[in-house]
Parts: sequence; structure tokens; C-alpha cells
Amino acid sequence: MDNKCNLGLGVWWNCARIKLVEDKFEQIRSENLEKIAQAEDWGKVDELYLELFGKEGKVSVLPREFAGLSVEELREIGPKFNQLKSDLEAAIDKKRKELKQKVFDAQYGEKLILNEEKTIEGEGHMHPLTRFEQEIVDLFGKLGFQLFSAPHIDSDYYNFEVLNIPEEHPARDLWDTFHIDKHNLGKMSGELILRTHTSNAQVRIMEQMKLPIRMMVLDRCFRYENLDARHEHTFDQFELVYIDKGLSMANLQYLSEYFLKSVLGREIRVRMRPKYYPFVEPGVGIDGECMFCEGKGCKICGGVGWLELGGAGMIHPTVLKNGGIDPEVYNGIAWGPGLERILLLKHGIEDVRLFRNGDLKFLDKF
Amino acid sequence: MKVSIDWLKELVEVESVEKLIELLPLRTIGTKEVTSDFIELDMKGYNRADTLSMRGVAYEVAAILSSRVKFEEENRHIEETGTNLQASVENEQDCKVYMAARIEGVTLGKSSDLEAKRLMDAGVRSVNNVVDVTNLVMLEYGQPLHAFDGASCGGDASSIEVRRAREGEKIQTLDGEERELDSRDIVISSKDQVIGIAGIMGGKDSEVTDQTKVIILEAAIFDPKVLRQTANRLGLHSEAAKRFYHGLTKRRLVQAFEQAIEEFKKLGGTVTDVKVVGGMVDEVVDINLNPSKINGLIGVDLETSAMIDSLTKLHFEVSDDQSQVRVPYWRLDCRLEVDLIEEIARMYGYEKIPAKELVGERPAKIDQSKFEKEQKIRESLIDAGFNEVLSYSFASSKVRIGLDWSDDELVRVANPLSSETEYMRFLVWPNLVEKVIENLKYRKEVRMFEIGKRYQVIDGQVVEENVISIAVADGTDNPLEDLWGRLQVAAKQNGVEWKVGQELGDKSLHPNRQFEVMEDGDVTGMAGEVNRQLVDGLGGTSRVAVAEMVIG
Repeated sequence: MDNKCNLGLGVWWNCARIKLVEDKFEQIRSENLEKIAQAEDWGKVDELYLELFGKEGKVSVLPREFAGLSVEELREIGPKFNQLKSDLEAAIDKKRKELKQKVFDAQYGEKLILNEEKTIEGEGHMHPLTRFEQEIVDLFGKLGFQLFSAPHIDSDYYNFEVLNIPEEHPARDLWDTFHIDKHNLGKMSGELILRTHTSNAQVRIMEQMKLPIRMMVLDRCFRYENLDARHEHTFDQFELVYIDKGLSMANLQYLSEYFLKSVLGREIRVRMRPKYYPFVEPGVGIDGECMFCEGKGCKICGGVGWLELGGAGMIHPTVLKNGGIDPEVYNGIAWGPGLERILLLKHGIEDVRLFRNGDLKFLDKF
Repeated sequence: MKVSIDWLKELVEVESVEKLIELLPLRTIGTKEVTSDFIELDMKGYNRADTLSMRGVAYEVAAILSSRVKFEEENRHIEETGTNLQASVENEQDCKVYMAARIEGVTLGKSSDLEAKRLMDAGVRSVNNVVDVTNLVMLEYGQPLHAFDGASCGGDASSIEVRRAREGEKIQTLDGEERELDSRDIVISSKDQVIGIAGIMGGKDSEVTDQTKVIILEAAIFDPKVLRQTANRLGLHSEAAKRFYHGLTKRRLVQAFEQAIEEFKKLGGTVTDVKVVGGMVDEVVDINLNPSKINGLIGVDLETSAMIDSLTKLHFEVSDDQSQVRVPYWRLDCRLEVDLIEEIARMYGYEKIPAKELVGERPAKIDQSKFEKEQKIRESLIDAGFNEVLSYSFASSKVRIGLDWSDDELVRVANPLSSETEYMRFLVWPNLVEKVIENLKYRKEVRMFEIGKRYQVIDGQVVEENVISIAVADGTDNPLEDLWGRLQVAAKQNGVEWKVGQELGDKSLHPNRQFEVMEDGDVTGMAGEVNRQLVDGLGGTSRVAVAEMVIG
């Protein structure tokens, strides 16, 4: 800067103008930093903020004074102006935090005051998903099914291997899976995943329960899937594990009809269709007649008149064997839909994410 | 699998395409997309290797439409010949069969319009007549083929070896990417360099170009597990690789190999050498036919003749005494009696199976108190004015910032979708605080609870616990009073006693307004007012109280 000012009269003049502006910056800076530091309440800080950054604030109007400056001068002044602005803003921000902390600190002196009894007006709401699950528990309880639960974070063994899904089997493509990082787990820890289906309960049920078996699982599952209105990485599944002598696909059809008629509250046609899952054979896809067009074909069912509602099948002999059950004597039915999908259809809900975003405006409707 | 409709009609009699489209999902497999040119079968995770070939699809279509295929099963035989090509396999496990032919004089050019249309229907790009032959034959027979440029295999003294890659060995694949390989990968190698990753992608250096004078044609069966691991690691799931994963047969391999040679001869080629490594016999599978068992499992009453009729349409051979059936060689998915039952059930039509009520004795009652207790607590909390919500099992990233969780105690996801799914929730209440703040934009008082799991690492083990988690902001400067008062009402209703215990010393909570929650003399959880900085960091200005108890 000093060097430049020795170059000649014109340059000297420029430097003088810059100096003037800079002096003004400095004056605003020191004056106001002082004021901000001394402010003792929110109101004062707000007032100072307006004084500086309001429409006619001291800082806001400064650029008007740059009108006569050349491009070179502006290049020199610009960064300095920005510095001034950010210094003052930072000071105000800091002050606000200090004041907030003061309020918090004062509150932290408060004592614990509890009132052991409370008169309550008005009730809360049950979440539609748990309400639906309760309905299902009652419904299948009537048929003798009882509840069972299995871990959310599970081994590859129970989630895949014992279900006839060996490693590197192409069927693994059916389940996009979250894996657990083992860095902080014991050295003996095997592969862990977030379970991709409630079927991780199947072999556990066989191991722990006496035959005949009628069990049900209603719980959370996970898939490595990006979120949108139709896709969730977290969802609830309902699964029946039914093992006895002489079970057939006709019993499976009965369970589908019983379930859909009851939960949708009206007569609805249900059909089975071939579908492949490695842990059942034959494997079954369950379709319900589209409730929007009553089977005529519409946009929602893609014109076919049917909606896929669940998966099922006769438990694969290998899976029964893995659970210590003789497939020559017993056979089994595994049956289960994803619950959110049925609720979406039942209530005409457009976005599956609404179930887990905690928005009471949405939840209050149920 | 995209099935070209024009091509299909040349392989099988199809009276009505509409009928076929209607029947496919009811008898065989769902369809992903149907246009006037192709039908795309939904092959994701499917076990039917045969439906990855036009011939396999044609057999299936003939069976479900009760029509006939228009082709013969060729019984082809391969003779080794020539001295200009050597082929060897390092490890038989990696490659059951390897066949190679050296072909001279093929003129490179464009494929015919018919061939280009078939490829387009199948979703495969037409490259040149040589590559197109390998792709068309793969589509028809299901057997992947590859053509190498003969010069890169050693010219007149060509030699090919199937072996594991050496540590750090590199190859530039056809897509232009350089790939580093190691001993987990099976490669095709000439004397001096790797010319392809077995079953997955060929090398750029051995690509067939207009300079190519000699082609080396390859057909093989590689170990699907090894291939899939390599493909997963390199992110290279090609059409060919898919067919290896699902399984291949030696008979189709020979048919495809011969067919490709025929096609190259049409393009002016002369076969100088053929080399074969490995045996040529497919496994023969017979399954018992037990009609009463079949009817029992399906729940119908079919005549044996109807079963045999269905199986015959599917080319299963029934023994003279009707006690056994032989599986057609291309049906690698049929190995067990239940597989046979599925064939009969689907040919009959799953949709015709009637509903039958459940009979048989009901299992004995088992202890359900854990579930009943949870439901009772839920109902009592609702009666006490709390709203039930569900939040993700992950810890929201915003919440994590404000809390002093040690990485050692958190369950971390190895492959998160984003920072929102990177950690499992260590506690449930922080997720609820975030939800309370969001709801306070629309209402003055928010009371919510969630019953669900939290996930912690304790002594190197993952521990999941089912908890009741509660969060309240009631507009006062002591929301804990409201929360605790209501909780006492709920406790009374479901017959538990939750009592105030010792101070916790939890920095994420108000220093005086926090305590352990006791149940029957044991610590079962905590309650407290959330530290103001934490709420502030989440963009909230209200005072929020929380509680979290384990459901015993």
C-alpha cells in the first residue's frame, strides 16, 4: 500500500480516498463491537442488529459511499467491507448465545418439582400401524396363533442360511441388506445384518416350540432401499408359521381369505399365484382383488384388477430339517404380508413415509 | 429376461399373445413389462435358469398354452481337432467344462436387420456380426459365449489357460475400465497376459475388431459362486454373468457352441482347431411320483392322469409304472418331490385351489405376558394423554450431533444409505425430541411415546432392548412435572410402580431435573428435562421432558 502511494499524484489521491473509507469502517467496527459487548438483554441486541443491518442500518448503507470508486479501488475495499460485516454479525451471534446460555444457566438452578398425581383431560391416539397389528393379533389369536419375537440385528445364519439361501445364491438379490460394522464388536462376532424379514424367526420357532405349531410374528424389518413415497428402508411384516401334519395350499388360501376379508371389512376375492422364495416350495404370491376398481382394472392396480398383497408358501423341507422337524411327517405354511402396504391401500394413504415421521397431524386422523 | 415376441413365435406355436400374457403370471412368473415387441419376465432372485434362454421360455410357453415347440433337441457331438490351439484348466472346481474353437476367415461386418431387431427386443446392443452371434446364441440357448481376437491369444500357436488371477494382476475390460484382480478371481489367460475375467467381461486388448483375422470362440461352465463374488466386488453384473449364477448344462453348452460355429461358417469362417477340457455328461435326476402326497400338499383331488399330462407337457418323462419321473435336463430348479408338486400345482392353476379351514388340535397356550404387558402399557399411556408415534431405528444425524455418544457403544451400519442410516439408535428419546420440536410448529402442547427397540454395544456384544420412550413439551417451564404426573396415572392403570430414584449425572439433561426410574427396587430407566442446548441445537425453543424405561 505505502509503495503504491509513492507512485504519483493520481495514485496518491486514490489511496487517500481508500484511507477515508477504511477509517470509517474502523470507526463503525470499534464503536459497535463495544456496544454489542455491553448489551445485557435480547431486546438491546435486536436493537443493535437493526441499527447495523436494518434497511437504513449503518452497515447496510455503506455501499452507497462506494459509488464514486474505481474498479481497482472496489477490489481493495470489497473484502474489507465483507470482513466488517462478518465481524459484527459474529459478535452479535456470540452475544446472543451468551445471553441464551445465561438464561439456561439460570434455569439450571431450578429444583426438581414433581406432582405425583395428575388429573387428565383428553386421550392420546394409538398409531395406526400398532392398532392394525393389534387387530391382526386378535384375529389370528382366534385361530390359535400366538406371538413370537426375534432380534432385529441378526446373524446371516438365521436370516438367510437356514432359510435355504446360501451365500452367493442368486436369490440373495431379493433382499437388499444393511450390514453391521464389526469394528467395535468382539472378535468372535460373526456377520451381523439388519434382518430383512420376520422369517428370521422361523427356525427359532421350530427349535423352541412343541409341535403342532401356530405362531405369529409382527415386527420391524429393514431393507437397503432409498426412501420415496412408495419405498421404505423400514417396514413392519406380519408372518405366520404354521406347522402340523397334513397341511395344504388350500389351508393357505383359507388364511389369505380370512385375513383380507377381516381386515378390509368386506368380501374380497383372493388368489394365489406362483412366486419364488427359497424357503418355501411351492412358493405363493397372494393377490387381492383391487379395492379401487373392484377388479375391473385401474391405474392403481396397473390395469390388471389385482394387487399383490403378500408372500407365502409351503415351508421348504430343507428349512423344516434345519429346524429339527421331519418333513416326511410334518409340513408347514409360512404366510405374511407387509403391513404398511395394506394400510396404504385400505386408507388411501399416498406416502408410506408418513407412518414414521411422527407428524401428529397425520396420526390424529386415525 | 426380455423375451422377443417375434422370435418366440419362431420357436413355439403361440395362437394368442394376449392369452400368453394373461397366463404367464398365473402359471409361471410375474412380468415386469409388456410391449408389442417383448415380454420382460421378472427374474429378480428367481431360480429358473431355463427361463434365461429363449428355448427354455419356449418350452414353458408350450406347456402353459398346450402347444408345441418348433425346434428339435439336437444331440451334438464335439470332436477335438487341430494343433494351433491349446486349452487348459488349472483347477477343475473353477471350470467344469471349457471349450474353445479357433476360426479363421470371418469377415467382420454388420448383422442383418432381423438379428438386430432380435437383439434390440432382448435389450442387447448390436455391436458387430461376430459379437452379435455370441449374444444371439446366448439368448437362444442360455449359454454365454465369448469371442477373443486370435492375435491376442498367440496367433498360430494360441494357448489359453483358465486360472486364478495373480495378486495385483491388471486388465482393462471391454468397458474401458482398468480392473485390479487377485487370487479370488478366475481369469482367462494367454501365454503372456490376462485376456478376460471368466464369465464376466473380456479384455479390451483381446476385443474383436476389423483388424481381426482369427477368432477364438469360448464356451464354458465356471463356478457360479466365485463369479458372483468377483462380479459383486467389481460391480459388474453382465447378462452373461447372470446366466452363470443361475446354472448351466453341458448339453446346452455343446448345442450353443456348435450353433455359434455354424453361424461363423455362414460369415465365411473355417474352423481350424477345437479343444475340450472336462466331461460332457449332465446329471440325471429322477423324482418319485406319489399322487396322494401331491394331492395332500396342494389340497385338491387330481387324477393321476391329469398330473402325468401336466408333467408331460413340461417334458418330464414318466416311467412305465408311473412311480418316477425324469426331470428334463434344462430344469436345474427341479430336484425334490416338492419341486414336482409345484409343477403340478401351477399347471393346474394356483387360483383354482379352494380354501380349506384349519383342522387339527390347537397348540398349548404359551406364555404371552411379555406381549400383553407391552399392549397394556401402550393403552395406559394413551389413556394418560400421550400420542403413539413410530420413529426409525436409526439415530437421526441431527440428534447425534448434540449427544455425547461414544462410537464404541454405538451399533454402526457398514453400508448406510446416508448419514441418516449410519447409526442405530442408542436411545429412543432423542428421536422423539426431534419429533416434538417439529410438531410444536403446529401445536402448543405435544405428548408422545414410542414403544420400540434401542440398540447398544455392551462388552463387544450387540444388545437390543425393548423400551417405552416418552417426550413432552407442554408450554410450561417444567414439562417433567406433566410427564411424571401422567406417567403415574398410567402406571397405576397397568399395575406397575415407577418411582423416583437417584440423580443420573447425565449431561444431556437439566442438572437438577433428572433421575433414575425405579421399578420394584431396580433401576428400569430414566426421566428428566432435556438440556436446553440440545433442544436449541435441534431448532427448538421450548422446554422438553423425556423418560425411557425398559419393558421387563
